[in-house]
Parts: sequence; C-alpha cells; structure tokens
Amino acid sequence: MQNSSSKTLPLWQVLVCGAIIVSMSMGIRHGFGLWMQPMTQEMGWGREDFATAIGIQNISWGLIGIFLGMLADRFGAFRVMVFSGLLYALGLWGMAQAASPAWLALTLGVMVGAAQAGTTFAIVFGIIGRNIPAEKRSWAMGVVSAAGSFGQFLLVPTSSYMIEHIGWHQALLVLAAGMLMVLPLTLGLREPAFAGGQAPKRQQSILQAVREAFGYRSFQLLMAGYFVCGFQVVFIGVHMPSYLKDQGLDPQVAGTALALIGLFNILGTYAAGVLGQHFPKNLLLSFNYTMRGVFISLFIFLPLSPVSVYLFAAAMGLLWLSTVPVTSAIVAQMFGVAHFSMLSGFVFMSHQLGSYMGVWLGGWVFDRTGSYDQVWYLTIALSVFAALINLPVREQGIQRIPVAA
Amino acid sequence: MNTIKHTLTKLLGPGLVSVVLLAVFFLYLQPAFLQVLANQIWGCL
Repeated sequence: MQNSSSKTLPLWQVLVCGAIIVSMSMGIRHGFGLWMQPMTQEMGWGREDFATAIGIQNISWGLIGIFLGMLADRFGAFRVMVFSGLLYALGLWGMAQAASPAWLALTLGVMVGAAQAGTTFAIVFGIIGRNIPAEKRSWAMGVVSAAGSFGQFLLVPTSSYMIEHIGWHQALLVLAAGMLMVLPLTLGLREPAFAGGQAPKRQQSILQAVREAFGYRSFQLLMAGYFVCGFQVVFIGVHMPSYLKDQGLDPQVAGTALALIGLFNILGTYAAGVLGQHFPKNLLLSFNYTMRGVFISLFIFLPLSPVSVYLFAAAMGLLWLSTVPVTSAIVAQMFGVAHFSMLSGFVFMSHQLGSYMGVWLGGWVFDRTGSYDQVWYLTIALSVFAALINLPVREQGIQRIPVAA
Repeated sequence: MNTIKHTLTKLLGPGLVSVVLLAVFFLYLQPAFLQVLANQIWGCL
C-alpha cells in the first residue's frame, strides 16, 4: 500500500519503522522501576534519589519534547530521531556508570527523558501526519500507539529477567545496545520533503502557530483533558499496588493486574485508532473518560477481591493509552501538520504535568490521611470534568483568515 | 477451497498477534516472576 504522492513515505514503512522504534523506547522506559531496588541497594542511595531522577525524566520528556517537536517540524523527524536514539543509548550507558545521585539525575533523568521525547509519539506521529492521508491517520496512530504499549508489555519481564541473570549494569548496557540496533530503522523515516535540509514552506511562524493554538478553545480543552489522562493513569499505575496491599490483598494480585493493564492497553489503543476513523473523536474521548469514572467508581465502592481487581485492570487497560492516538489525530486535524510535533509536545506537556500531580498528590494525601480515598474521589470527579470538556471540542480544521499580500 | 484459504489468510495476522500476546502474558503469570515484580517494583515482599 502506498501513498499517492511520490513526496511521501510508503505507509507500511512508516508503520513498521515507527512502531519498532516507539515500542523499544516506551518499553525501556516502562521497566525503569525494576532498577530501583538493585541499584539503590548496591550504590547505597535512597529511593528518593531514584524517584527524583524519574521525576526529572518526566519533566525533561515534557519540556524538551516541545523543542524537539519544533526541530522535527522544521528539519524533519529523521535527524531528531537519530540524535535522540544516540542520546538514549548514551543515557543508559551513563546510568550504568552512575556514581552519584546527581549523575543518575543527569543520565536517567535529563538525557533519557529528552531521548524519549525524540523517539516516541509526538515525533513519530508527525511523520504519520505528513505522510499518511487524513482518512488513515487515526488508525495509523493507533497502530504505533499499540506498538508502544506492546513494548511496555514485553520489556518489563525481559528487563526483569536480564537483571536477575546478568545484573543491572549489564542489563542497562544490553538495552543501550538494543536502542542502537533499532536506530538504523530511522533511515526508513527520512522524509523526502526534508531532503537536503530543505524545509517545506509553512504558512505560519512558530510563534503564530503557538498563539493560534493557545487562543483556540478546543485546543485548551484538549490539553485540560489530557492533564486528567496523565493524572489518572500515573496515580493508578503507581499507587494502586500500595492500595491493594493496604486492603489486604496479596502483592502478586498487583503484578497480575499490571499484566492485565498491559495486555488490554494494546487492544485498547489499537481499537481507539480504528474507532477514530469512524466516529467523532471528541465523543470517543468523552466516552473514554466517562467509562474511566464508571470503572473507578465500581472499583472503589464495590467489595474488593482479586476478581474485582482483575476486572478493573482489564477495563482500565482498554482505556489506558487509548486517548493518545485520538488526541493526536484531533490536533493534526485542527491545525494541520506543519507544526504538529511541537503542538503535540505542548499537549503532552499537559499530560506530564497531570502525571506528576497524580503521583505526587497520591503520596501527599496518603501521608496526611493514611488513605487514598480522597484521591480516588478526585479521579472520579476529574473523569466527569474531562468527559464534559471534550464534548464541545471541534475536531474540524481551524478556519484561518487569509492575510492580504 | 478459495474461501477457506482466504479466511485462513485473514486470520493469520490476528492469530499470530494473539499467540505472541498470550505468550508474554503467561510470562507475567509465572509465580516466580510475580514475586520478583512485587519485590523489585514496590518492595512489597
């Protein structure tokens, strides 16, 4: 299958190369928690040192992602991805050599965070936006998102196995080598439109595009909704295991729940991409947040058992990252693809702020009240809020007033 | 015959994906791995 224009990349090439790189990048990132115990124990650091590095990584991903998005829109994603892939490998190598918490914050935090920004959704979706026609975009974003989810699902047991058998140093070096091995796939993402450093002509400057987006109500609402997504996903991912333990469930129930979330997340993200081709995307987002609210309510108000945990994990897994392809496809539809990676970077920054708030507030409230109840209620209220604010989002392209010559 | 072949070809992709996903899922369900996960990630044990 090929696009009609000779100036674009073939569909299968974008999907295969993009999906493998995203799954590797997302997969490595998802398993970092596995290094906490062995690394902090051997180096004599506190858990807060490791957690600080992970926090910095999330902020670095969000902030630097905006600037890498600008570069990808201007010079093409290929250069950004090569740089980011090398930075990822260097960051992992540096993490293996880290002799102090500051060094860990620089490598695992700043370097790996920036590298993730350049090897994941915003950049690859930019390539999809520029090379795949609008009628297939949401589906294609769903395929790449599902690949990212699969990477997360696969690399957790893989990383764990490596740490157990070859030690955490060597396991990091293997992952760094793995990142280098998938790097040649970026050659399949060299866009003809950016050949020879030539950038396609754009109607707007970066500043104009940013002003337009931030002045547009639907974009503001979309960003607010994505904040809720980040808040809920990270709160549940980080705090649910402790919640289950506090409720007297076996820790292995939490492990199985994690597996179910991972498995159903792959199906959910792919399905969301497919549905995005056939239904209004704002309604899909509204439905997603509504169902999150329903499932969270059932989970916390009904009696807790391993079965209820597994049902909740499967249901939440279906909704987990399924906002990603839909939200990104709306951004591309609203503003076009000229500044897409940068604008996606801004939307993703909102997601990361939500993630940070979710993990922080969960801990803060628990430390003060000895319970997660208030945060669970807040996640339900936020579901209602996000479901409502996505209703008026207009996914149609923005009408620009032509500037007189 | 052609219909059967066509149906089988169409089912091959989803079938392979399902096999891979279930294989990884069963990796997670190994009691030893669940214990390692609980210990490594949350220090639960």
